[in-house]
Amino acid sequence: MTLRAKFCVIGTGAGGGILAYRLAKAGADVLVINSGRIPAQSEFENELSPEQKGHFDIGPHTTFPVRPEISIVHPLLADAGSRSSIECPREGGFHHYQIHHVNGLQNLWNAICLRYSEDDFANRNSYSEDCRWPISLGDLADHYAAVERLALVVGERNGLRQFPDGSFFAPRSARQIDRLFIDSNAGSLGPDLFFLENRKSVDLRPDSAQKCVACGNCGRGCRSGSVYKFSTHLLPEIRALRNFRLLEHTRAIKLSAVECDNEGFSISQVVAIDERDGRIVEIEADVIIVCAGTIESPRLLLNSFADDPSKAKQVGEFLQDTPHAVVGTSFFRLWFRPANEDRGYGDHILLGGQIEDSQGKRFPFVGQFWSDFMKAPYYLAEMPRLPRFLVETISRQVFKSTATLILWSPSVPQRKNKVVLADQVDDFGQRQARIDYEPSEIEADHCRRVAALGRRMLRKASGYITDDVGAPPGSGIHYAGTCRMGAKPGDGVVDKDLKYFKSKNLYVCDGSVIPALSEKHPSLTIMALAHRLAERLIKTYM
Amino acid sequence: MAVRMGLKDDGPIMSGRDSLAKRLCQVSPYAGRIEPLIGLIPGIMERNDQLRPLWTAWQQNATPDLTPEQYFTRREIKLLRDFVEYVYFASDAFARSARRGR
Repeated sequence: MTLRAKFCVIGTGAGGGILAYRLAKAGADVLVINSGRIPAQSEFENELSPEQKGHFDIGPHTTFPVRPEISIVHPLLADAGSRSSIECPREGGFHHYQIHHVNGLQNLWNAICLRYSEDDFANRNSYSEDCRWPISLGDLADHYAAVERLALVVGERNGLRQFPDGSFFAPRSARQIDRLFIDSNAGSLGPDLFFLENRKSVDLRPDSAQKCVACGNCGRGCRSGSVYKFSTHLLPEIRALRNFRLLEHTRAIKLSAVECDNEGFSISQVVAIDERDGRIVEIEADVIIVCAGTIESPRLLLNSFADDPSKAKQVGEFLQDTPHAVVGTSFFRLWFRPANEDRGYGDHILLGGQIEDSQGKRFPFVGQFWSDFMKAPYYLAEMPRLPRFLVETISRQVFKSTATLILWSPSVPQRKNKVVLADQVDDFGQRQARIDYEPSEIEADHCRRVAALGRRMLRKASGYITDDVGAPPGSGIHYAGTCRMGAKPGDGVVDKDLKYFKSKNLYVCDGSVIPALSEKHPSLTIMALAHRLAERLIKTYM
Repeated sequence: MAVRMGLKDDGPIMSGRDSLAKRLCQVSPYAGRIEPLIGLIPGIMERNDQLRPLWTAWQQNATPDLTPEQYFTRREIKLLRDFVEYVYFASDAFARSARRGR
């Protein structure tokens, strides 16, 4: 089967979803292909208790006594094995969380929306001369505002240089546990640390059908549909348009390149496969935009250009994931008090600022202060020898008074951290990818520093016993760098307009184009880059 | 196929698997608390890499007068206790009472 379109968008994650929406709304002939299907809202049943789920979150690999790092990814959507982009990761290696369904990783997006700052775009916090932004905050400001409106971002304007203000809806008010944390630390923050209302894509409009139900569990997929996803927020608006088509269960396996008379090449065809019956789908389009994600996009490019590696120079290099530390505790001051049922959207409060590393160099960080009712009682591992009545008493109090600080610092891009083709092939005959990844010493130092700060602050709020939760490579799920933007060929894989160097009609638009991850969550920046690219494509090709 | 049989003190009819699971859970002081959930235990144990061997061995070798303490090692008994304790504290009954602040 051969299909024809003006624009072919591969993938519907943070980049592809916005791009498809904007192009379709502008009247462009858009064909979007995506692995898997549109997830039903009923699949995000995070309000179900572990008992209602029938398995108590105990999976095949859960070990007892249970540690905190169980089940990060939505179990129904997680992909692994021979359908995955990557070969089985080695023990302790980079774990790539992947969702081969419409919305991609945004199916489990926590929804934090932070603009990158002027300092980020000016590479002032950069740790690599090879990975530098070729655009400024000014280039993206209008597009940030546009996607903030589409995604319904809540927040407050704070006038902070590190966290540029945006277009916000009013947030929820702080809860008892947030006030305890803020008030206990407010007097000792110093000039370089501050609290701010979280900025999240959560629908709080009282008359909305997708209004947040305050279950507090945004991190594994939102049941009420209040957190932005392409399939729930934008797709319904464009699905009926005659100029828009979405092919589910359709996986791109190859881009066919033809040399042009002058320098460069163009993509003549996208070869895809119907995952259900193995039927080949050929797509001819004037413009191809690869939005398949930081691991899958380079894999597609490397597989496509395997016969001519000069076309895939630097593709896959500088893989990054935002370094982070996770510190949990229970606040004694909330023990024996009535539980507050309002869990809001889990993390109302952000902590931000700059601290020194062990060499005395300052680096920025951001922390999200998270609290909701515990789903899995992993704290039991900490009290193995206590008498039963004490375990029961402590458990009741811990259940309602837990808080977790997740503290993020900038990545240190390294060329040796990369995605390369593996020898194994997937179910569709394509070579899987292998991930070579080793966190840098600087990143490890940053994590130790922010974790120490987090522990100190939690203790001030009566969280005397803190627990460092493991944060293995890949668990940040902020993947970036493998098709990075650059000012000129040699500096990156795509130019400042996300056009593949030396190609006439190939673009990349997902986390992979971010040259250097700052401490901030990258989704909003990917969405803004997609909006900017859509505007350029409309101007250039329509 | 699960064998259905009536047990003297169990109230409702309990399957053979459930009955085996109930006897296995007696290793924990929380056994009584999770009794309403006993039907879920075999499936969870079969799914989990660490618990599956214990469940399989118990299914194959348990006799009416054998207790888990007689059959399993101390390490395995501790694992079973951790499992049962986890299930109780992840149960709705516990969550409800903790939410009420009791």
